[in-house]
Amino acid sequence: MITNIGLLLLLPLAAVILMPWVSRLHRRAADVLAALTGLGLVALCLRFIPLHGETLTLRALHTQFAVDGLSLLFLVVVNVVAFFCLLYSIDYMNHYDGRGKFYALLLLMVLGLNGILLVRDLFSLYVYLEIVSIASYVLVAFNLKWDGIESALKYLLLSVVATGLILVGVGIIYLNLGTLEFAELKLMLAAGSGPSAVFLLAAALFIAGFGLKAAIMPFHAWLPDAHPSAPAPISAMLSGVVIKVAGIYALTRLFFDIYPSPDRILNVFLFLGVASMVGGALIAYFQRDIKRMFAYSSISQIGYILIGLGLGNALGLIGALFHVLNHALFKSLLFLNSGALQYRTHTRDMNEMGGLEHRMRVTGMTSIFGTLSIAGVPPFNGFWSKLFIILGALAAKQYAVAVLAIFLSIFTLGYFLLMQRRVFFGKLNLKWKDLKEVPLTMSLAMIFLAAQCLLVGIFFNEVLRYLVEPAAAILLGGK
Amino acid sequence: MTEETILLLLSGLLLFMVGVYLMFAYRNLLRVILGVEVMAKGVTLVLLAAGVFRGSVEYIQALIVTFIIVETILAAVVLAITFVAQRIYNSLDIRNLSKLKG
Amino acid sequence: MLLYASLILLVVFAILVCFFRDLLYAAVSLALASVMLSVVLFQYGANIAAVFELSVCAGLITVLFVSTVSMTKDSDQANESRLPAYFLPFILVLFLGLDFFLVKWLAGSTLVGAGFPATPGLNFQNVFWGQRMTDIVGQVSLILVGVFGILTIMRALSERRKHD
Repeated sequence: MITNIGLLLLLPLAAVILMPWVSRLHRRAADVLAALTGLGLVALCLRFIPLHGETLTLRALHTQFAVDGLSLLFLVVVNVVAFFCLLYSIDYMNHYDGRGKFYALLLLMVLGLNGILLVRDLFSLYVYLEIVSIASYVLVAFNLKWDGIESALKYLLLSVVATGLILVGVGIIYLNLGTLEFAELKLMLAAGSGPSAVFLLAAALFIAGFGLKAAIMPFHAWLPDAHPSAPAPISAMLSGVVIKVAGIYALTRLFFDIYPSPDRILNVFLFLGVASMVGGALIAYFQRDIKRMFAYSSISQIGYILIGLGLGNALGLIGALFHVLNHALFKSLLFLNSGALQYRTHTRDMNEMGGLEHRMRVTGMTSIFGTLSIAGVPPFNGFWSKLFIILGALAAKQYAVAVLAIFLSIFTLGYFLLMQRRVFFGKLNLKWKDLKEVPLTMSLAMIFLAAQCLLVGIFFNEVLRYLVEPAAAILLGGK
Repeated sequence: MTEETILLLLSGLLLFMVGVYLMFAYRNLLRVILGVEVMAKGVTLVLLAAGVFRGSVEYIQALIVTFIIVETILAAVVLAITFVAQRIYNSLDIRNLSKLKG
Repeated sequence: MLLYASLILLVVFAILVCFFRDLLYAAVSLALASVMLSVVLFQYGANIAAVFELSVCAGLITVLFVSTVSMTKDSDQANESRLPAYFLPFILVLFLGLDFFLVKWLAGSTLVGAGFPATPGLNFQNVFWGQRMTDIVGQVSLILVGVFGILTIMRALSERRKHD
């Protein structure tokens, strides 16, 4: 069991090292290797579920990696979404050259994400964060068209500042507390020997740095360009997983597990959350580009997660963590849908589409699942997490936030139904008369993700018990 | 705090800010890389200040070495992207990044 | 004395990077700043970090940068505005103010006695190859990211792709 932790990093590493040789063997060999690696990672993660919130630490060859309830939830999210993205890429990448390099970088990104979740030290967290960042700059620019390179550079510009801020924060933490290890930091801060004024400065740096990574509203400028220009599986990974692991996970680990935050930091979260939720949804409404619309709606959904965290009570935290899982599932599904549309129509402009329902049945049906989930319609998964967040807001007596969250949920349903009408229903644009459904693996990935949206919604009780509650217990541990 | 630590912190934070200014105030993409490097110098100084103050320069030295390696890989990738941007699109002007307004 | 001189020179060279219109001069100025940082590191006994700073930052990155500059010389980089350089003195005053404020705050609330005690008798080997092994696994992966990243980007220049 303990060695499985190491395999979460070594398996993708081995696959990446083999990739250049394997991709020369046969045209399809790289596909098989990548998909099998993804499947293996999912199997490894699922085996940790019986731990039920225990902490498992691997100390081998002087390394230290650990799995606890919080990292387990994110590990499952990362590796499940990554597997479906890898599966989807098999046919999707027919448009592109250099698929071996694509898989290598995607697997390295997954390795970096797993690393972020497994390390127990602030500086190591930075190192693995940088793996994810550099891999995603290159993957955003993967098509090497001007818009890809442009948004990669823009992403890079802001992301480098973010990591700089984080490192200065790390420096200040070390200056004050003389250690960077999570367990020792927790001990020091609990003993009250860390002067809190200084921690506030570090906290501001961390919120700005990880907030940039999570694309929270005042720091969101890079996301609406970077996510649409990337190939669809990468958009799904970036929007579904990377902003959560690089942003939300780090924030929860720092401000809940290591340092049980005082109310003024939680209020910052709440404020930023409301700004992102409202702002992201409003801008999403006016988009013509389908992927840009999804990107803005990601900002809005990150807002929901932050609100749940900012409320600071059990219901809010459970809602936030559950929404991390749900948003990863339905947003990656929606991005894969948009990729399927782009694969066939070669456009992202929703006004050019229309009536595709009968031409692309799988894409149409699965995108309805995605729409209903993101809007929070029962019994889909998004309903439960939003319900918990709203109940949390009521419990914390934040009635305005609760009303806004309900209203924005209806608004989300509105603009997603508008998207459905423009893309799938209405009159068929004659250009698309001979359009066919996308190839097998792309359809399969979308069907599986859609099924998961429904299944998680139906069996929400089990998901809460085995994945979300152990994670929430860690966040509540300090209270 | 000792005078030395304060000086290291002062110059470190100043260099960090100058680096950010270099990244965002200029038009040429290659200046972005200079900005990243100046920022990295600032971060190195802040880390060094922490190590000096804590009396554990040996520990912080390991972090600085890792940081230099990370920064070099980043610089190489950024230079490659810039190089290709120039070779294919013949432009290094950041204002040509039309969508940069957010 | 040498410490203060090298720190001041480091800051001066780094600020000069903003003033030079010619990118080659800016690169040289940055390299000199790196050399000064390496002197600072050396004086605190961080010998290995100093060597890395000198060979990698002052050497390797400057070489990479200068070769990129010379290979992209014919593009439209000429009309860089002087405005950012003219604004710099005012910005610097602003930055210095912020800088002093932050450091004063830090100095006011950082206590020597507080915090985790430093382990005595550590040397670079057992920190880097012992305590920081987790980072080394990350570094190996990071080097792979760099290799695959540069290969991915450079395929733009391959002949086969141009004919597509």
